[in-house]
Amino acid sequence: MNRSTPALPARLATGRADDPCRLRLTLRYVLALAIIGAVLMAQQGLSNLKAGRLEADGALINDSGAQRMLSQRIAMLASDLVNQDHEQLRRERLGALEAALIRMQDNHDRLQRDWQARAAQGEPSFGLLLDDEGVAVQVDSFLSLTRTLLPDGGRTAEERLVATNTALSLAEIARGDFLDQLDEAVQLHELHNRQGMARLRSAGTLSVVFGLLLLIAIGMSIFQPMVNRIVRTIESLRESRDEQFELGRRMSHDLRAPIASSRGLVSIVEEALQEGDLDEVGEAVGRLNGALSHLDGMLAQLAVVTRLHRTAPRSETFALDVLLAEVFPGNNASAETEVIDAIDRPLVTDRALLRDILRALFDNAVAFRQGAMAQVQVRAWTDLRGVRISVEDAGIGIPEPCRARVFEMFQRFHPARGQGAGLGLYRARMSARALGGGLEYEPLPAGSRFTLTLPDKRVPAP
Amino acid sequence: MSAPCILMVEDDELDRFILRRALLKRWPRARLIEAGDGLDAIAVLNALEGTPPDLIMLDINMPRMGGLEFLEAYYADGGHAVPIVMMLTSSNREDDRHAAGRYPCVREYLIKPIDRSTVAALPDPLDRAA
Repeated sequence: MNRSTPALPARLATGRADDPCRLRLTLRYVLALAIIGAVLMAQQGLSNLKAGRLEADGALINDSGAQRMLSQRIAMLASDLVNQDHEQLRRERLGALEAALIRMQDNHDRLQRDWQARAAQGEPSFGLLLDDEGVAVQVDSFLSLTRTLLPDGGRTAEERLVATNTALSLAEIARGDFLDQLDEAVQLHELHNRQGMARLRSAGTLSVVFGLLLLIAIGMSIFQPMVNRIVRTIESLRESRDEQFELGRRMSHDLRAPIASSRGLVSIVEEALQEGDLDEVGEAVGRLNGALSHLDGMLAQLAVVTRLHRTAPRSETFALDVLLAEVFPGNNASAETEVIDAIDRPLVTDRALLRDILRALFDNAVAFRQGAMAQVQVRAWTDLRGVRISVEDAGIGIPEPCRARVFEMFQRFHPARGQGAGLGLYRARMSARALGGGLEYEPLPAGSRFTLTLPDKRVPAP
Repeated sequence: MSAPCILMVEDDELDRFILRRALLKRWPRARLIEAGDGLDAIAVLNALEGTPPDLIMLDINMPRMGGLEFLEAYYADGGHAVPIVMMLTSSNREDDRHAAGRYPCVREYLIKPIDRSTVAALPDPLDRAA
């Protein structure tokens, strides 16, 4: 016989069972929170990245728009410069012109770098800005022409004439296609920015949808099993609590009965002794002895019931036919038993508990037999529900009004026939549940059938 | 003194022995009839039709049919005289006492064990004014 380490208590009623349960639950929700946290961080990172790009786009739109204004300012300052004779005012115009030139050049450098980068990323409309006919070349020419007015705007008459022509050219440029080209660059940046905003909104929507789907997936794969497990645990604890409560209630009531009877017998003994009726003393003492033995047996059964609440079943491998032959001895003085065993492989379960269940059913069949011999038929088979063992008798059966209480504690349906504590079937069903199965009762036209169902833990087929 | 007819409805053989002795101590010539539970008691009462017992000593907790279920079934029948009933129980549960008190025929609610002194203090079932 193989013996493995006993499994954890099935009822989760002890601290030993709580720890792995808590660990599993903790790991599950930590995993869930980690996934949610990682997704939120990723979403925030993407949003920051996108917002940074849009911010840069906004700066480029400003720069691009400023080029238009600066070109007009430069043209105006150049015109003022060449028409100004007052030295102080000329220097002021020259300073303003130089400042506008530097700013326009800086803007142009930034915009060119951006256009080159976008053209390299496959955005051809920005590449067009850089070709020979593009605004970049035009701006370069405008800036180069403007630089010819520096550093002093022309001192000699000849230089003043050249400068005047340059100022006229700049004014001409600042009124023509050049401004349209600058406007087109601004519009291109604005379009790009709008597209970016639209992509950001789409990404936000997708992100929310993804987040919701992820939450649903986490809910179904992590939280729902957790909730199911917690509910099962609570139900198990509630059931265990109810059973303990019922056990206590029943004990407080049903144990009082034999104690009250014993006290009554003691009173009889006292009275009989006072009356000198020794025959009655003898009878009462004999009955008292029987009552105490009955009480002792009841307490022993209760101790077994209590152990069932606390002890985990063992996993043992054994042949069912050997166990059936041990419990059901074939034909003897009080029973004729037929066993039909269709289970071909050894079982893996708690042999002692299974033996107790089958023994209780056999004892019941014999105790409540019809006539001198109990007729017992035992069948063992497997089906979709697992391993099934039925014990059928042709006895006096269970009265119809009592059938709903057949598995309750302290039920004695034929007190004249059985001297037990009324715990046999209760114990049998508890043991069946402890093994992960159940025990069902079915009245027959003559007799009863009890069917035990166990999880199919047969040794795998070779 | 005339002898009462008493129906003892009690599933426990030991309690029947104790009760029988206590009743016979008070009414040595009493006619005692025994029933193992409520269903047995109904069968006995049907068999005694026309001559019901003077007193029913009725246990509460019994297999098949307990004392309270018996009262309900017997009262529901309604076509017969209802004797005086004294309830017997080993536990003094308020809900049982309350349920039994709903039946006018229930005169006493006795806690086991029933000894001679308990029976001696009972009203005489033959004295209907008791």
